[in-house]
Amino acid sequence: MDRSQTIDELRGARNIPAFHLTAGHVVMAAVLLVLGYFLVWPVLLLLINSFNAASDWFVEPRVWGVRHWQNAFQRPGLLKSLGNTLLIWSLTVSFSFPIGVTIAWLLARTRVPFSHSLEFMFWISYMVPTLPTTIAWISLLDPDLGFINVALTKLGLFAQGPFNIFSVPGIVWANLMGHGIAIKVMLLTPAFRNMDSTLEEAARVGGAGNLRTLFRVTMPLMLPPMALVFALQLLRIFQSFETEYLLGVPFGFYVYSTKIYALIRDPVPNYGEATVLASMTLLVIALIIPLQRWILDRRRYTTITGSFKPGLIDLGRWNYVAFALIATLLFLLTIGPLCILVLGSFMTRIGYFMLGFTLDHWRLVLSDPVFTKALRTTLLLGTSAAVLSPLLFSVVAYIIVRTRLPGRRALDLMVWCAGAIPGILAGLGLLWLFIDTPGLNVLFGTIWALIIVVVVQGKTTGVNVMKGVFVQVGADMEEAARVSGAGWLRTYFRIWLPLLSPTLILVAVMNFVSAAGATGSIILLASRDTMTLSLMALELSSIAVSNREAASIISIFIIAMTVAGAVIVRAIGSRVGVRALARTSPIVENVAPLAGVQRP
Amino acid sequence: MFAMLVVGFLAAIGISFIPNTMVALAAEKPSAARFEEEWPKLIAAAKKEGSVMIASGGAPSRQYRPVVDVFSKKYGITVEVSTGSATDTVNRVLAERKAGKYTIDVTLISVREAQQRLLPAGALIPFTPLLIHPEVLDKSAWFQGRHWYGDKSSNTIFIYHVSKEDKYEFWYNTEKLKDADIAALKKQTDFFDARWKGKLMGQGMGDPSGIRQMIDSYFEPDRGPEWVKTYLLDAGLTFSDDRRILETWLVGGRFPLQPVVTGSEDLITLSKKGLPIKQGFLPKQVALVRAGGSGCCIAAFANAPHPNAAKLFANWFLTKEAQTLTHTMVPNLDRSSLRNDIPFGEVPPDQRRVAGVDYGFPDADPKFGARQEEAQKWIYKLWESRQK
Repeated sequence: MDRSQTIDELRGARNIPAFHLTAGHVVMAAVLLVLGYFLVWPVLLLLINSFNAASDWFVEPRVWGVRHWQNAFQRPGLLKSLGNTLLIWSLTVSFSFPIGVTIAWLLARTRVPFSHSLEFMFWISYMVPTLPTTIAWISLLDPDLGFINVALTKLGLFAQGPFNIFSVPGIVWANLMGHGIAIKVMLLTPAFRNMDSTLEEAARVGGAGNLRTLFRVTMPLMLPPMALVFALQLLRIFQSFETEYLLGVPFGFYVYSTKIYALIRDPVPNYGEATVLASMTLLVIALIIPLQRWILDRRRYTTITGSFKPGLIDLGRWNYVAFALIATLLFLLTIGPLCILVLGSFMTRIGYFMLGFTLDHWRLVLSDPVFTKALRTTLLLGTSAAVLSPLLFSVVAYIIVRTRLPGRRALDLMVWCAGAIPGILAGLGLLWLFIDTPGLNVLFGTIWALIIVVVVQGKTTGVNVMKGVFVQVGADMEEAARVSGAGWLRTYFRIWLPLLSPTLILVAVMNFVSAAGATGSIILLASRDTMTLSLMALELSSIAVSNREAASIISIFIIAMTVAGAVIVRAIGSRVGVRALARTSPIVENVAPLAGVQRP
Repeated sequence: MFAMLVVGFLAAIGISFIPNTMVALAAEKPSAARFEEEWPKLIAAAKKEGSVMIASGGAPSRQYRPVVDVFSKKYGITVEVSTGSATDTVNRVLAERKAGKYTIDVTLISVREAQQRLLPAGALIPFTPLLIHPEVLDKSAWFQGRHWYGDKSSNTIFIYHVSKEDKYEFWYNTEKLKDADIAALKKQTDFFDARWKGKLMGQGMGDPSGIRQMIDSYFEPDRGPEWVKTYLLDAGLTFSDDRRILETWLVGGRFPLQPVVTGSEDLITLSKKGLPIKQGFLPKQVALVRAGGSGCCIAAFANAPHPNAAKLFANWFLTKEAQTLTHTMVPNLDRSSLRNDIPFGEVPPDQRRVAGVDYGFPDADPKFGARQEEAQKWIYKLWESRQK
């Protein structure tokens, strides 16, 4: 038989479709190019340069070699620090995850009073930066001067303070009280809320109690978003360092991220070895990718369909017990640190009541000409990130989850890899990107460079949270819209935006917080004209200036700004979200005018 | 000629010595008339440029803000001072320059940053030729009748402020330690006595002051490398890079003795307010003046975008007027100007140099930079070995 003939026959048998270039392909190519350039190229630049064996990348000429790779893995105590990292991470996750999931379920699926307000308080907790929270807990749990320890010894309950924040349990506690629990509640509550209650009701009708329904129906349905949140937590395993650095170094406890940080903070920053150590996160991504592939393939866990029905479980008097427990936790997470932050800003010196109170720190900050400039810049950056990031991330997530376009897996991988490098290193990659790219270099030193950076910086969390929602939503509504002749844009605005609105708001708030608090990623790009509040706070709390009281004031402004923004977007969101729509009519009604069908 | 031969010989055997007369001979002293002619032209050219960009970092970048504002108002020239960490500033500037972008005119930065990074990168130009103001050129107004530089060629990193170190300072908690215990401390190795084990604390090497303290100790006859090694590894000290945490430990008495302290303005304030902490001193064999931190030195960048404004600022900043402002506008300054003809103002008494005392000035030794770098590497290795 003729060989070419055989191939033709085989082709015919498999019915291989001919490739037709569509608008989708063009969009995908553009997205891959643009995002690849901004997200992956800075990471690649760092990785390529890790083979530049020069000690000081900025001073010495480039010499290619593997010196940094050899030296990095010979650093003393590296294995131990890896072990310490795993210890802290696993302890933090094993507490924060069950607590976060339980609270998210209680807030979204039960009739706990003031559930929306409680959820919002977790957002506020997330808005309080990690550093002031850790400082607040040092003020409370320092073995000698901590308020709680002092109170317990003065009451005669203990001979000496029983708590020591400078310990492994202390670090885990500070992590939990920082963003450990809050971020999980924030990410999981909308997912739980988006869940259709039909299956839960069926389980109850079948005689299952609330707990059985929770473990046999709700949890399996929520597995994809929970796995995503877990993956995001895994990605940050080598990145969180502030708490570990502040609390661990005094008792000789080093984690992997403090090693990376120390290398960058050397008098001659050792970016080469820091990049090598940070690139270990790429191995973590190799674990994450299969996990999230599995998530994306679990379409059978679709929870939002055209007949979406958001039912709530009544726990009876346990509603109030749950409320009391969550409110107590929120007091520890939010009210406590905020009170200490505000109180500290009026203290002559934080932690020393005997020195009295003063308005000097407020005067110093408010009279600083940089402050008003920084406030304006921060508002602009925060607003840009809050408006543009959710839209951008939702489109990227849509392409990854809802289309079959070639390249979508590469796009997904890109989003994950871009999150592998800690902000402080990524800042260097971005600096090179802006300086070396003709056309982009004119943006260097301007607000536009910062806007680009803050808009894309929350990509890994933002896109994956969006992916979680796209996975949850069934295809019926979109198909109905399409069948009715609605184009992609119309479908997106009429169907997707209302469905996504709680998540869009969440991502908007998270990006506002991350833009307002950005330091590492923008520090090398900001000029005096584009100084932000977070950079000002960093400067004030730096070792040399050490004005923690003034830095607290800046944090208060950032939090106030974020809370105000969040209140506004939540108010808008509540009018267009799934629940708002569901309150008035089934979601399918929203599709009906598009689809040209009559209400049933 | 003979004098030059002597200096050459001394340099060859490793001793750096620059007689004041030589320096005076080397400097070109423009006539008053020439200055009168040149100065207004310089002001006009600087005004035309409109601004001067200064790279700085750490506390001085904020401390000097009111001082540069005076310059700004006086000459109608915008001054922009970069803030934040000096290392970040230097990274940014060097990255820009590698890409052919030149945005900075002048730097107010530490000898270490300038010498270890800006100079080897070829970012700085000789500073001496920029000086034209008679008040600045008049060496008799400066410490020991000369200008001081912190670089190998003694012409690029101009030192204008120094801290005085004529005794070793330590701090202790008065409730936890008795005066008799403290009286037993006579020399630096006494801190390593077994009785202090578990009671000592120190600044970690993540704090630039911490590494600076160890580099200084490495070269001091009372301490030296062995002392540094014991201090870091064997004396049972607890370290933190966070000065506020150290302060809390001292006040609370968790670690009641801090053997090495520099920049103690905050502790002095707390002590004055009645907290149970007290300053102690041990004698030092050699009294020193040191140029440390970003507030010590000024240098000029090559390819400066505003060369005339930079020159005007450099000259003005070193005049009697501006240096006086650094003493009067910055509260509790932990150093003082090398100008001898200005009032001490806000400078605390222990930072005021005493006439007639022969202070050593290692930072002005052209060879000291390289030796410091070696010591720094050795100390970091020791510090890292703690993390095993």
